[in-house]
Amino acid sequence: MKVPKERIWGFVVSTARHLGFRTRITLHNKSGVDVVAGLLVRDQDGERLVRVPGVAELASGSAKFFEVDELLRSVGLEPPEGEESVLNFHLIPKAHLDADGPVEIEKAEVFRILTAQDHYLEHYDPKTGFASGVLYQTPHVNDPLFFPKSSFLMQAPKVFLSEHRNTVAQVLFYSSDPDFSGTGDLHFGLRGGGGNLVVTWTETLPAHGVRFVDMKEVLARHGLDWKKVVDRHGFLFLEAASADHGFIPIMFNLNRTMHTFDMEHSLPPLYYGSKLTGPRKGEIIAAAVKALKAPVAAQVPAPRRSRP
Amino acid sequence: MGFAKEMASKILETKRKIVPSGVKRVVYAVSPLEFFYEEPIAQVYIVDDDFDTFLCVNNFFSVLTPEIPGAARGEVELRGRDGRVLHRHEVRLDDQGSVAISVRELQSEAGIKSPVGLATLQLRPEVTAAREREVFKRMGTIASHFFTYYLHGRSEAMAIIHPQSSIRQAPGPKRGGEGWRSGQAIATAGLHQVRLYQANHAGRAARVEYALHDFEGGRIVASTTLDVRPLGADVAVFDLAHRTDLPRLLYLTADRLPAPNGKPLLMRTYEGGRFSMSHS
Repeated sequence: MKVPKERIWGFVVSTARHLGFRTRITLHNKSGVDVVAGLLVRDQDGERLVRVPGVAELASGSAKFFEVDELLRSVGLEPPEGEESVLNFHLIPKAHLDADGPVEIEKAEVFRILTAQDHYLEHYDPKTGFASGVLYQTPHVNDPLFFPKSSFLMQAPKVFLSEHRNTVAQVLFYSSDPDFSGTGDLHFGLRGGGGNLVVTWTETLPAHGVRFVDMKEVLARHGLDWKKVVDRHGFLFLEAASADHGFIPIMFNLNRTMHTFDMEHSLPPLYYGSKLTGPRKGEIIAAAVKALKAPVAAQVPAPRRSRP
Repeated sequence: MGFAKEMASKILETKRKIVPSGVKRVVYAVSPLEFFYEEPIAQVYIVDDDFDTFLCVNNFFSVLTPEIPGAARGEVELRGRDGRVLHRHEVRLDDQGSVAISVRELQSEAGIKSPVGLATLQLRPEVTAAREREVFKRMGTIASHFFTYYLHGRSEAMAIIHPQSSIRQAPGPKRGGEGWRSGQAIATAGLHQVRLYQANHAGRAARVEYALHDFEGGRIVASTTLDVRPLGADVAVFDLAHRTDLPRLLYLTADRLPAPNGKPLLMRTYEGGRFSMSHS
């Protein structure tokens, strides 16, 4: 297939400045080929700010560490206080570096080098040194060059609320196509332990932008007191789906008092069932979107039935 | 492929696997449907003076086979540091239901005390074999993934970690060169300890040699060895708070992993009960 060199291998991250944290990134190269990392920086709404063709070289087997604010200053940008930056890294095999147009590369080779390693994103509190991070990859999404259609499903129990704790879903509306544009709707639902939907809502994201969805705020917006909604462990089940677009989610659990947090990515349906790909995945996601788009009267969940 | 043909194929595929205990052959004689389940998924639990672990389980059948609504039923097993089964707990989830199970509460109910070990889950659709078969047709081989949530009792610092491997994996080979290298860069500012919570998803004991290296240049600044029993879990601790010779950044290596995807959970501890933990 013919692929613009910037779309072969990407990695996208967002900062988390509005939560009071700074950001570090470690890029890895276990692909077996030497690469040059280019960088496209956008604001939180996905608007392009600057593009730099080469910020680092990564020989095969090497890793490169970046302090994001230092990296931004090095490319002429002052880190905006309280607002987020979206950093799109493009890792380009050196063999294709001088190509002007699309390069010829096997699709299998693209996926091989993309999945050969995870990269590490970490946020930290400069006052205490506290740091937490997550290793992940950025797949090709919202890019018809690789897949005619993208979709998204998250179904994992990850929300914990207490006086000190909150859960925030960071969602990137990423595309491996830098010219991808428009907006995308992501449908959410929170369920109680008994399975009933407590609340559903939709977030609309700009292409290449990022949003942080605060679960306590969502409940308050729908007239719900979080204390009356959660079970005795502070637990709720979050679902999110889109039949039309792909998204990159990272869940934050935060302790605002201690200024600590964790981050975790999600798992696609294929991890749960070996047949959950292609048309079958599409059917599941269509059903999830239908359920999450149906109006739900904001309600306190029924008692949990967790024990036999 | 028809369902009967698919089932026959599954059985043959599973029979080809080498299972030392022979348990699978016994199960096969009882119910061929068992072959549509992966081995139980396992993750490390921590229950000590500071930490509790919550097993976050949802009825994923409701989302992944929405045309066949119904409850799910399953079993949580707690294994001790040495891999022995200490406790079994039955779980029932309503359609679309979910639960966070406190391992501290489970241990208290069972009258056991185990600070570290493996928790496993196997979940299945409730009711009839016919319904189970319809689920298999749509899902294929099922893996019962769950998330684990670690909570510090005093500070309420927390970590949520996605599921890891299934149990009874083949042992991980000893690796050449620097061995396995974690993708994390470990900043040393304010850092008190690095703890490595190591699961052994395999049926063979493993001795793992860990090392922390200077991120720039690779010099080893600390090392330790851990023996992890089959289907058990244990922890290796690097005390770094009083080290004055540490570089700004470290990385972690191991000479082997007990099972192919058996990377340790990497915990960082800081002042005041602050901690973070994630896959390494």
